[in-house]
Amino acid sequence: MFVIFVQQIVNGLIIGGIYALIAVGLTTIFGLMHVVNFAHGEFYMLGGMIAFLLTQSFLPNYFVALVASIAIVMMIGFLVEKILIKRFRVTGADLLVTGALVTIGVSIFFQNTSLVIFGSIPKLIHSPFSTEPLKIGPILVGRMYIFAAAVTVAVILSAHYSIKKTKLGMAMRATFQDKDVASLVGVNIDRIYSFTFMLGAGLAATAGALLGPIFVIYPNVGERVVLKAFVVVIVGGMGNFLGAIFASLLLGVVEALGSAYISAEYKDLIGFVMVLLILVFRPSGLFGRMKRI
Amino acid sequence: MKGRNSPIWYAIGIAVVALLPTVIRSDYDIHIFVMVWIFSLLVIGFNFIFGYIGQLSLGHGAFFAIGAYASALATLKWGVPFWIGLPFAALVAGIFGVVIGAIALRWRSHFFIIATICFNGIIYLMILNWVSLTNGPVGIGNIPLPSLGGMAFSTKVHFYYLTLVFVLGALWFTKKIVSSPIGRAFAAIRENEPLAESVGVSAYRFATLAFAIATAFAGMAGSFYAHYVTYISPEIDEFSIMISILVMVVLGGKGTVLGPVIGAFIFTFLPEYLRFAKDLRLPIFGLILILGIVFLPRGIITLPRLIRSRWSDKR
Repeated sequence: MFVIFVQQIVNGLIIGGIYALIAVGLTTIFGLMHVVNFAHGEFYMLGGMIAFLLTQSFLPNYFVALVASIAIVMMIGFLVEKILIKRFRVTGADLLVTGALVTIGVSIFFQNTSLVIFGSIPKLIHSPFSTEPLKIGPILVGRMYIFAAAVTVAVILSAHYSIKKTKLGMAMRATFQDKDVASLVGVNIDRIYSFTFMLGAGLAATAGALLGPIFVIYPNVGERVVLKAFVVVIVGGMGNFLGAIFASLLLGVVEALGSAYISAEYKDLIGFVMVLLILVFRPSGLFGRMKRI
Repeated sequence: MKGRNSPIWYAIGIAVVALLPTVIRSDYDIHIFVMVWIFSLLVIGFNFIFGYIGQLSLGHGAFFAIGAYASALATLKWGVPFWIGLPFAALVAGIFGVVIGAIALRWRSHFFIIATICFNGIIYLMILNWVSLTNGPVGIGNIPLPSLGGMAFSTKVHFYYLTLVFVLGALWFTKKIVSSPIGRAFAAIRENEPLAESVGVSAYRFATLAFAIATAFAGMAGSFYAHYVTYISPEIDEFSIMISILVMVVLGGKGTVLGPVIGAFIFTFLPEYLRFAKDLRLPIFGLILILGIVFLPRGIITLPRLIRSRWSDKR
């Protein structure tokens, strides 16, 4: 009985780690840039799809394909920002609403273009590790999960560190606090916006390519992914990296326990209710300091 | 400008849509027109919260679904006629709208967007999993057709006129509201909320009113859909419906009376006529949406004015 409980917690933590990886890209684009990015799930999907395509063709090594697919999706993100997002930022249109609309258009475009190119059959990347799970006492953990979790921790910590400590990170924070003043003191804010969007897209692609050997990828997988990511970003606090990690783990564990002991059908309800409660009682996020919204 | 608003143009417009079924012979085209009118009701409502108040709700599909289920269940379980089911659907959706709006409208912009997504998710899961009420993923079939004085609305042409009457009524209602003090309060909130508050317009109360109107319309559209198609399933609350609503209002012209209807017309017909492009149909649809937002941010309804000003610039 206790073992089952612990296994549920472990499963929850694993799923939570996955949510973290997906959400941390959104916390840069949505949390920092305030672009309600509905195409985030599509960056995830493209990361997985491109990695799959590469491993099937001329880059059979999974790890090389992983890096290459991240680079390609970052380029796509760069173009989306340069061609579309920048336009609305410059013209001073309501970035929130227009950003949401335009990314919905981008999302339809990528979803259906992938449907044409890759077909609707779900794809699974061939795992570079043995599929036999690792046994830690009575608890079972998949090897690919451990690799994904390790990369997630490394990626999130380095992103957190570079935003908090490096000069580029300082310029980023300055830009998103007050872009006029930042540009006045010599920050190239165009480049910062570009870079931030690329970073967010790249993080989503990392998630897609890392999870490709565990979960199947199909053209509209992004719709499911993006909702979880929004939940995590709100619960963790907008733009708060460490908050996003804790929120993901919390969501993963609560969902795992909820579906084991309460109801599997209503598992997805937990996230939505969590967001509404957070918005009512702590709009700055579970781990944010209480400050301006 | 005066000429465009004269009653003659209204009369001509109404005459054209009223006589269309005598010109169009194909049942399929009539069917698409019925869908245009049902979608028009849906987007005319959505325009109240998105166009007039200026807040983007991404949960509007939920109220469409609530209306469809409320009307279908009322007619099937209680045996009431469609004419009770229709106002019942509007009432139930409107009540849900008031409750959800009262909570979600505590926030603006991105928090409001996320809150409406969450409510939509909750309602979708309830429709999917409350099997004893909604029949779950299987859906509800055999929803009765409306009838009036012993005559059933059995053909597509009947439905064409039934829905058209309600669309015209909805347009009239919208025009009345917009030119009333309520409409001016809506505009004040959209343009400058703190200023509106400072002169005593309660943004929260008016926004909730707009949300209630929007959701009641969605419920009515849902009822028409249910009794026209005679089958509903949780799929009617999927995100693709919400995307259609958005595309229609944005590209038609948000915050205008006729814009949403023009949007509903174009974006119900366009996907059908893009069929020649086969698989590329939906990618093209996505591109059109992006291009529309970039080049026609105020919607197709402003296109004639844009062309006219271009033309007079040249001379």
